[in-house]
Amino acid sequence: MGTNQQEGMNERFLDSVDVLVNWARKYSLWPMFFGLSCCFVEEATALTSRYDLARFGAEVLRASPRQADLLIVSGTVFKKIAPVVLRLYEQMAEPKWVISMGSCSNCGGMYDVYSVVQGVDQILPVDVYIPGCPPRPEAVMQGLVMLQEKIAAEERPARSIFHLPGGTQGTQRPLRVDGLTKSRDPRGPGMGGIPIRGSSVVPPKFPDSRTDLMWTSPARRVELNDGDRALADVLKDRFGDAVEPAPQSSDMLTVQVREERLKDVLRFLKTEAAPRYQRLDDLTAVDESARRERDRYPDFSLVYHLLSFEAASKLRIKVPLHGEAPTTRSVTDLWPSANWYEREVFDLFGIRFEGHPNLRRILLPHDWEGHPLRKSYAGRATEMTPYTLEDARKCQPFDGGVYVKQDGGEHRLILNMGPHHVSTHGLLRYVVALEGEEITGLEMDLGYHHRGVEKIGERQSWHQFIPYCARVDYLAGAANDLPYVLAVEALADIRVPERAQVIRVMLSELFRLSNHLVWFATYAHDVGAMTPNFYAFREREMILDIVELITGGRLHPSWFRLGGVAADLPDGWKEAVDQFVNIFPSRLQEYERLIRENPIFKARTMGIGRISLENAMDWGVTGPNLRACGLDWDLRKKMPYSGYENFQFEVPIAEGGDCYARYLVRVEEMRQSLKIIEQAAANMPSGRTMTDDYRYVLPKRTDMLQDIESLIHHFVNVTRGPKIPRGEAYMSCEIPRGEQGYYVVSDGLGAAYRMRIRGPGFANVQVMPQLAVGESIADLIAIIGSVDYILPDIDR
Amino acid sequence: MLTWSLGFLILMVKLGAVLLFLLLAAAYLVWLERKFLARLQVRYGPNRAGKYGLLQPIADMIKMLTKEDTIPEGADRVIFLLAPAVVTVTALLMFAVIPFGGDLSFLGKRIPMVIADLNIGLLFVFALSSLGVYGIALGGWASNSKYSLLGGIRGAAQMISYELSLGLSLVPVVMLAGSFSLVDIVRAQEAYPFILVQPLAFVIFVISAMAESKRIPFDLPEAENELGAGYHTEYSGIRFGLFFLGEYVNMQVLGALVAVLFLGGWSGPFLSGPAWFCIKILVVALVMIWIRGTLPRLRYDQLMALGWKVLIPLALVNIVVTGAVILI
Amino acid sequence: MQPIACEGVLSPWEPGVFSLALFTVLVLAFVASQLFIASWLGEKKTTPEKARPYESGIIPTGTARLRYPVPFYLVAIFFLVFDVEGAYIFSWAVACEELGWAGWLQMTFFIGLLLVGLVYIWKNGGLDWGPTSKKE
Repeated sequence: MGTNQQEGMNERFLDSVDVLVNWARKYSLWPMFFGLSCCFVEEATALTSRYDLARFGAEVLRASPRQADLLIVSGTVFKKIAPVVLRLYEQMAEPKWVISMGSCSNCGGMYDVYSVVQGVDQILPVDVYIPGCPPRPEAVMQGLVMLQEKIAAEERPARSIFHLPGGTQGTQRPLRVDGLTKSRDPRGPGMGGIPIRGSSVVPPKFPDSRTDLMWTSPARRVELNDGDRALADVLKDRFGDAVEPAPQSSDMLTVQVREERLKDVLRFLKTEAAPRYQRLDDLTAVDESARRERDRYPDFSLVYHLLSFEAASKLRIKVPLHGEAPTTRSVTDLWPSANWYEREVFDLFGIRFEGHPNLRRILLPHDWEGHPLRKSYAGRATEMTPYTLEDARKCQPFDGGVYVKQDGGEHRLILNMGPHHVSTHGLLRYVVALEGEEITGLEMDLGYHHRGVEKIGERQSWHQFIPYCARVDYLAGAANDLPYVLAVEALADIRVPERAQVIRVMLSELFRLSNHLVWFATYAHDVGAMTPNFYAFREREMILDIVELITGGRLHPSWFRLGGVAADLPDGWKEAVDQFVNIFPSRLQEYERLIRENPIFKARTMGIGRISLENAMDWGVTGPNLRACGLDWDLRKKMPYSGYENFQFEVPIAEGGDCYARYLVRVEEMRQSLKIIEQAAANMPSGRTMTDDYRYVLPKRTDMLQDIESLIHHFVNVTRGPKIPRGEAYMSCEIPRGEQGYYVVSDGLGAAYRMRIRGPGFANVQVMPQLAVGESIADLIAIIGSVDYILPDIDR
Repeated sequence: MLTWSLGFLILMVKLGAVLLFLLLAAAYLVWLERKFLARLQVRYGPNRAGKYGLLQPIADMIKMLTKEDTIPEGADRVIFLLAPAVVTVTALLMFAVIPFGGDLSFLGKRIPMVIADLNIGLLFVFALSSLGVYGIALGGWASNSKYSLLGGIRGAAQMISYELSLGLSLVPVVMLAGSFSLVDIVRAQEAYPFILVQPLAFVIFVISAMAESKRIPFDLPEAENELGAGYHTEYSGIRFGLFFLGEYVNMQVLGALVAVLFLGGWSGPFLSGPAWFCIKILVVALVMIWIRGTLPRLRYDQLMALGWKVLIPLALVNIVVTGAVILI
Repeated sequence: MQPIACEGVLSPWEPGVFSLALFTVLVLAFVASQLFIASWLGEKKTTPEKARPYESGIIPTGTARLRYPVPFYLVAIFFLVFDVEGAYIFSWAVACEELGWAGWLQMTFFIGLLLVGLVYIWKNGGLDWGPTSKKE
């Protein structure tokens, strides 16, 4: 009896402790400062003024897992990062909770591709799933509140705290096993009998593609200008049979070069030719083994895109290669920037480069098997063996000592900054050798954000690929749809109505502003100022409101279409834009002065992270980072596209190439973008927003409901995708971070044969050791902030 | 004996009250900082746990108390476990010599509003604040983690460097008051607060004090953007909480020192001594939070240069000039 | 400036060492209770990964037990020198009025010497903590 009473007392005591502890924990959920991709931007937005997660006591972002209570897995869980995510989770102190944020983390989302884990719940227990791609900040709050409710309603922590049996705390759900406790079908369970749409025409097999039944005119053919013709002649004279200018092209002078003379040709073009082609814009390869007219193609083609600053022109060099795993010579001695490009080609295609200083995998984990961009390689994660907890334990990234040698003496410290770090701006791993605070060696390990988007481009129809574009640079939204649609339009010779062009420009510039505001916020944060963040995000919300009004989306509007834009501007767009244009300059002035004139900020950035113009050109640095070296080079002016030539704006440049110069250029760019937006809104032409040539595009809905021709085109172009004529085109645009190019190759099917993305970040980040070695560890953070890169566009 | 017991009782109540006040004030200083920063940043800040989020500190405290205590492999266990205590203990003990009001009288007996009026009060404060360095440096070193190590090294170098300018900036104050006792220093300011005659010493002291308390723009030892969480990276639960507590008690102590040394301590019209004292501390704390919400962070070498090349020479010159002025 | 009288040491009415000692005991008791709670309360689940030091989610390379680089020793040495000198200045400060101009002159000479020393280490690069690239 006595013991029973005693037990009853104990129970009551424990129950009340449960209530108290649950109450405390629910209001003190400190999230780890941890993000994977796009979703993290919305997670971070949830902390800012409009949403203010702080109200729930959850604004205390902790960089150390030891002090965090909540892991919000925000974004795509890549196979290369999964071991890191698992470790961070395990390093958190009990009790700990997990929220899976966004479709990618929930189930792989739109990335059913070799490099992505199809749901974080295969390696960690998850309490709350937030759906969306990406979920809005409100959804993050909802997820947090749901977790709070779960803690209050379900957990019995007192027993765990007092080491008694029977308590529960933290996330306890079982792991899911792909194929056993969750469906392996990306469409969900119950669809087993139906093949995945489009899978019948995924290379390498094309059983009776119905696209062949459609006739389309051949690819666009451009007239080469005199300069290009002269150059072709010079090359022919000098190298004879080794070079062969292509008879026709859809975009630029294209020259086929035999492998033996490649280096000579490139050296000539870089140093002697008139004009000189000083920049290696892009280097990639195409696996030709699945071409339908197989005998007309070699086994692989290497493709070099060169750019001449002098003549503002581009040039394509194609090199045929033969054999199962061909070898060619490295051009790293000509262009240092070729280093990473060649490693990428090796990684994804298995082509070797003789004379390369460091030829090893770059994007995929070091223990990966196969070369994913070969046509014989299965593209989907759901076609591979399921990813499990054991894989996440086993496949660890290389030790830091592999990257920087430990020979610098006893004081050298090798420190891994990233992939999980507050200021690496994404999943990038800096391996730094330190002598005191000074950086004596720096090497980067990338690929933690490799989403296999180029492989996806080969299976999504031409229209279906558009949503993937915005996700290549998740802060530049619609701005990076532009080079893709322009490239396809160039290839198929699609004419875009003027109104659509101006809408595209306006949205691109709105996103440039939005991106630069995030850059401003994070840069200020990187050098230690916490408040500008909140001001910049306030204005960014205004921009996203306009974007939402026009497109219905926030980060990833997927709004551009081949031949135009998805719909006309809605009522009230002009007022919204005008209001923003009126408010923004004074707001920017207000908080920008706080930074620009701040002596600490100046001391932290002036003279830090210098790069010379010559070096910047050699390394393929583009965008504001290049202009901060004093070169007046902006594609919008030099090689105008989408009607930029009709706008009045200046290209801001600065001297010095240091962190402060990069700051000045970007801030001034914001003002110029605003000018463009103002002009676009004031002079918006009337007319169609979609071309009336419906062969390749999604016809306007009103037309589709009215005449049978439009209906047929709509049906065919939505279901199989349009047939884009055989050929290739490369188009690059000045997106906020620099020059982003799309190289699309068509084999005359409903999907691209090869989809190559040249991201500005890849080149801009490769140059990092030049900027940071010899500076201190704090400077590295300032430099990272000033370079403004984003991971999905580096790793793609 | 009876008076002794009574006195002992009163003393215990006083000490208990002071300790409790310090702890509560530290907790609510965190709340104040979160709310004030939020308002600077056009936000609301915590407002769900209790009205205006007033129970937020309690929630955080209970959460930390019931969280797992992690110790990394290879850590120097004893040092690792004790380092957070060093920070808190030194911060709390520093308050012992700070007078927070004029004497009260009770049954004809004098009850001083200071725990210990040592004649070397100021030196006691310096001694303890030097000891506080150990908590940071050893905590960072013992963790066997590189971020912690870097934070610990930064913390040690920064704190001992600013210790010098902190001390030297106060020499003129000692000269004016002719004593190290903080009670005497407050008394010496009956005519005018020292901030009026020693503005330079005031500025040097406040800058050094902020560096000592490791707050933006001097928060290098835990610079989140650079070192994750710096010296306390490996600490979880209430051990991390103790570092936190130490920091906020430190903030109060520094506020109190500013009040005592430059703002006339507890003296002021209309209100009672302790009330004035609290108001002055609060003002100093708010200014420190405001600065945190405004400025970027210095780099390590800039921080050291500011201390050694600017503050220390200025403080030395200030001593010589003050001496001359007093003698004239 | 009253000397602490020996007979009053245990007096609870005086704000002296006794009071300070009691406060110290209270503070230590409080902190000890926190440390005790830290090691007693809360579920303990030690796994190999949890025990591993945090380094951005990567297995650390080498040890974090490194000797501090030389510049940090210099800081310590300079601190020592200046702190000891500071003690002399303090002892003069309390008595500066009694010591008069003579004392002031001597102290000014002393501080002058200190400043010369500071300038000397400054010129010799002892106060340059920045990266080598910026030291020129």
